[in-house]
Amino acid sequence: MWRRLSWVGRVSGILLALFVFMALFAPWIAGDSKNPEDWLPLIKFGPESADIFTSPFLAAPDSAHLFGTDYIGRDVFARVVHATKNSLLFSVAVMIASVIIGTLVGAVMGFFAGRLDMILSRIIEVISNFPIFLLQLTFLAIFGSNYFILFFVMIFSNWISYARYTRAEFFRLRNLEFVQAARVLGSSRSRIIFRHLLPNSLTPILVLIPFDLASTIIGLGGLSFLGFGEPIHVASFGELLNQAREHFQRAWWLAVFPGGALFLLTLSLALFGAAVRDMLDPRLGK
Amino acid sequence: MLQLTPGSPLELKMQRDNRGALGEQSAISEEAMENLKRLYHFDKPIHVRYGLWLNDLIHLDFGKSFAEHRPVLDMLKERIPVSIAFGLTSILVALFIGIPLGMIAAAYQGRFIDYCVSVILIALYSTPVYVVALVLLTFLGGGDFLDLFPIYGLKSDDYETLSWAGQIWDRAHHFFLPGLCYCLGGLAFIAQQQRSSLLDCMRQDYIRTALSKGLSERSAFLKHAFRNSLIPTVTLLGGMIPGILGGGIIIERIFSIPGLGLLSYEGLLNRDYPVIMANFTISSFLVLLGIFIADFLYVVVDPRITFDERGEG
Repeated sequence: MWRRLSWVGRVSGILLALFVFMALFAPWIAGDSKNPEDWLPLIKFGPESADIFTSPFLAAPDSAHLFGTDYIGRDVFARVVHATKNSLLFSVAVMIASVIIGTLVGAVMGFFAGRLDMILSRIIEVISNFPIFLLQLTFLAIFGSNYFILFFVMIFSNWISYARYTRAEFFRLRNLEFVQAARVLGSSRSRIIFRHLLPNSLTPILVLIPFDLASTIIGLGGLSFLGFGEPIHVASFGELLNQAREHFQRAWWLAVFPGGALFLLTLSLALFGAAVRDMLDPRLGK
Repeated sequence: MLQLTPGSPLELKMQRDNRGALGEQSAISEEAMENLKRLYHFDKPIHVRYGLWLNDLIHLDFGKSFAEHRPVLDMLKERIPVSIAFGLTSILVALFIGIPLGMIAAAYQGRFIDYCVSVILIALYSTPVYVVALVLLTFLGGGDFLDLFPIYGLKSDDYETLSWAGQIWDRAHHFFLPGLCYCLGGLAFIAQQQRSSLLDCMRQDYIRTALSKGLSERSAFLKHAFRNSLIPTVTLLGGMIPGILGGGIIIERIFSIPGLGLLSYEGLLNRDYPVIMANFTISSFLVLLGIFIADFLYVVVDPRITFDERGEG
């Protein structure tokens, strides 16, 4: 696998692995520590820790605060690390739910075809023509921002591309010989769907995943940026960047570091996704 | 659906009034409340309200804003030209830079130029617009760094005193940064699409036929493949039109541009239902407009497509 990946794919893969590592070990990289002798966590500031007597507000980056501090003296580096963790975890959760819903709906559409397919296709068309971002904002503004609503709102339109790909793959596969053979042998419908068709139609879905994660992270950041996304105290890219908007004349580090981290994260996802796509199916990209 | 939500805007307003009246228990009597409710039709069940709203809509009456006490239509009239200016710019840039970029990448497929363009496009595509906007704002908008561009609004405070040319320059000066942010995403989107659909077309049989009958690669590329490759791009372009509003929310918030996006944001903050409903109406209209424009362009791009009853397409 690794050998067939292009060098862009390798670099972005390593970068992505770093981000995942950072996300998984966030509490050990940046967390509160009462005892300064401990070598873990590496950074002695948690995302929430702000001692109004010791930590300066909006301090420029120095050796203590690598990325500076925010408007109430919290360490920006710690918040970036935890924002990475939060947005990666959340987008992975959204992705998993979307994959499950999308492939199931797509499988049903592709397998049963006919009228059911037509009705579901219309529903998908209607949903995909909604002004999604505005709709998400409206929902969050009305019901308040908590993770449950956020989750629902993000999945609302996200599963559609998975459903489309699965449906297309099912239509391609459904009349091939191995499926007919399974039918003739008397396999049940669910067995045909789950054992024969689904495993053979996973490639486009796998290819979609990195791009989907990137766009979920961007969307989540946008919602949080406007103050409707993740709860306000949670460390998130959107919240940090919103601070950058308020203090842009005094605190460049608030825009550069969280923005840069977010950019690198989505960029490495997209580049890695493109490289994997070219590797799995050179025809798709070229 | 919107109006089913708990906490009616009236109650919100009442609370504000209460606070304004220095802690009086209830500054507004029940009777006044009822009157207000009647004024905004809050006394009627939801389906009746929807009917009333539709009826008003036919007469182009979006109702009165709860927050600003003036007709939503007036607010829209102020804001729509701004959004159209930005939206049109971004679409034109996407067309006139995005399509050639995609073509260049496709023409040099597999070579260094293609590689660079593709990576840049992916980078552009995966950059959140708010990050670009904030970094631009921080480094070019004064503060500790360069002070090249104004940071908010559409024109300077002393706009009226400027000369004719100065006014245009002032507008352009204010327009540049947000306009740039508006353009980037769409540009990358269109260019990527154009590249892949051109390459798709180049693999088709008719290109092989054209080449084998002795056409130069250049004219096969420009005449045969290019025209056919425009169709998927046109579809995308139609899809971009409603995006003007959604993408505008963030950009207009960052640069304080009084466009439709900022209007919807304020509407959401204030629970200003007539404003929110008007925005949804506009964006649905934009979706239809996008589809219509795409259909129209199909016919321009590809004469085989007709929408006649007799048409073969």
